[in-house]
Amino acid sequence: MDAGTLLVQWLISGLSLGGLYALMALGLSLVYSILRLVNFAYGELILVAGYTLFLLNPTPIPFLIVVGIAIALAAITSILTERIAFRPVRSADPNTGLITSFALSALLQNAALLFISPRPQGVPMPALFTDNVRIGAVFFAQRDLISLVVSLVLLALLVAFLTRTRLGIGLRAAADDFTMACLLGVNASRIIAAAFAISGLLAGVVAIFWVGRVGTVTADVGTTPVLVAFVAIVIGGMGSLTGAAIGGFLLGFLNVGLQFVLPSDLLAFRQAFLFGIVILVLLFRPAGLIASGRTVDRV
Amino acid sequence: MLVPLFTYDLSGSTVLRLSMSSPRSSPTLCSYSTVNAKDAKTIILISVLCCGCRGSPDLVILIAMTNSLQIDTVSVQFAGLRALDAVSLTLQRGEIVGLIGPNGSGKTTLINAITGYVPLTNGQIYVSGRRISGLPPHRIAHHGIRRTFQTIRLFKQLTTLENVEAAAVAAGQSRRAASKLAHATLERLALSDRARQTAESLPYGEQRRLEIARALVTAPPFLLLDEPAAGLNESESDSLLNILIGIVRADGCGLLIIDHDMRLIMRLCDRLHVLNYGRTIAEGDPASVRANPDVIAAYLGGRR
Repeated sequence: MDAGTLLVQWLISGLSLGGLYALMALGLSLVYSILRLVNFAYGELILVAGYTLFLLNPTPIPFLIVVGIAIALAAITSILTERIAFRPVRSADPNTGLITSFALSALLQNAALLFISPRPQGVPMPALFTDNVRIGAVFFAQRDLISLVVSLVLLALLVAFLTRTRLGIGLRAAADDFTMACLLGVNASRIIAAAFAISGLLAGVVAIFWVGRVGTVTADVGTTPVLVAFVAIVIGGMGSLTGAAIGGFLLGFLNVGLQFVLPSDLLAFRQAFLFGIVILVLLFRPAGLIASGRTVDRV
Repeated sequence: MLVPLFTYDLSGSTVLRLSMSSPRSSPTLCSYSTVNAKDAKTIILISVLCCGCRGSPDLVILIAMTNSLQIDTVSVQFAGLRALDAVSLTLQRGEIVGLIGPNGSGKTTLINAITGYVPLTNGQIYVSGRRISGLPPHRIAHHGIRRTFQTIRLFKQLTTLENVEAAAVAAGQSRRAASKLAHATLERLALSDRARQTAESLPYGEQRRLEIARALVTAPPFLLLDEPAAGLNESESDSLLNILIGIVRADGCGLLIIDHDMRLIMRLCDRLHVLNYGRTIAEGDPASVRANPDVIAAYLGGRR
């Protein structure tokens, strides 16, 4: 393949994967920047959406509506986890919230194992997702192009929401300095609920494409995405929303790029190379690419 | 639908209801009452309706801006330390009260207590007769109380304009009104040129001004400033305070200010309130407070 073709392939694949990573990272980062809570149960929202796709697949409901229901259920689950699990420990030590999120994650995963199945379940995707399309000399799965468009549109909507609406400005203010925002009259509970709702919505959208890539859903389907999202917000800069998005895209491009540049016998160690680069980034920028300037605990 | 032409916190205002037997007779007073925050909107509606009916014999008159912030024997206990001990203080709208005292005397704790940042151990706080102590911070803010911190606490990653807009939006303004108010406030504090820059990129003195812009944007009835001029040089702090006084006098808000610069405090304040070890040791006009032996002893040491 010539260089131009490779470049197009890298750009599109990188944007597609990076877009998903960025959405996930933003969902995780939104909650983190407001509550200083790394919500490891975030991955289980992908589980909820994934199993919804699986369970509703045999029904005559059209695919796009199933997708809508799956995304809505992820958002609702996110709001409920905040209400039921995180709100009671909100004023406790941040580590309590972290442990709560692990507990919640284990609970939901085991519920899926117990009540649905311990085996991977196939989620057939419609032709729209699985067909290939030719761009120049390269073939792409339409799914990748759709995910690219959807994530870019969603990112643009999110930016518009965060900069133009009252709730969005409140969210960004709260993400910057939660206490100060409350002292100016921002309703803490409402802003936290909104953060969890958006976080769940993003997880739901990511779930569709994540499950679409793999084609199956398992109880641990959320583990890798949440880990990737976490790494993305760390290299982007904990607490910075822009940083989270940049971190997501960076990971996506690196991941796809390594696939091209590594010799085939080293491809199995792609993750090692990827995280090696992450470590290098952190060596030079310990607070992440965009430091939020508030890495110390809040008083 | 009625679209209010302006929004203004009317809580604490007095309403007089007058009745007139005919449009030309002199009115007689039938009742008066104090508006609480909940009724404020209703009252506006009533007065709009009354004005709407021509020849209506009833008049509703609003006498605004009579509210006060009342701190009633407030105590705050931190584990073994009594940070505030039965402190009482009333702040009227339109007056500037200086809160002074040596380091650790409880000045900042008092502001923290008023704004719901730390819980009270004892005592109550009222805004125009309505209890605000025990409410969550955002509800207290909705009673028209704004504060600044001794250390600058801007929304660093937001732009200058967004910092002020966020405050207006948090106070319940619409997106459009918030933007308009924010632009006007930046203009007043000479920050318009910086509107699109992030807050953290501003020079220190302008960050201080932005903090005040953010607190002032919705013309709050009560403003609590914790060392607003900290870290500024003399000419910077003079110009900041001149802007501040102008705004305070124009908006008629009550200002409680903490500062260590006695020259400035003496010049600025209508009244002083002195704390030492969490207790009130003196209050009154600046001249009498400066002459008070307890105050001199607290600052310079010595037996009382």
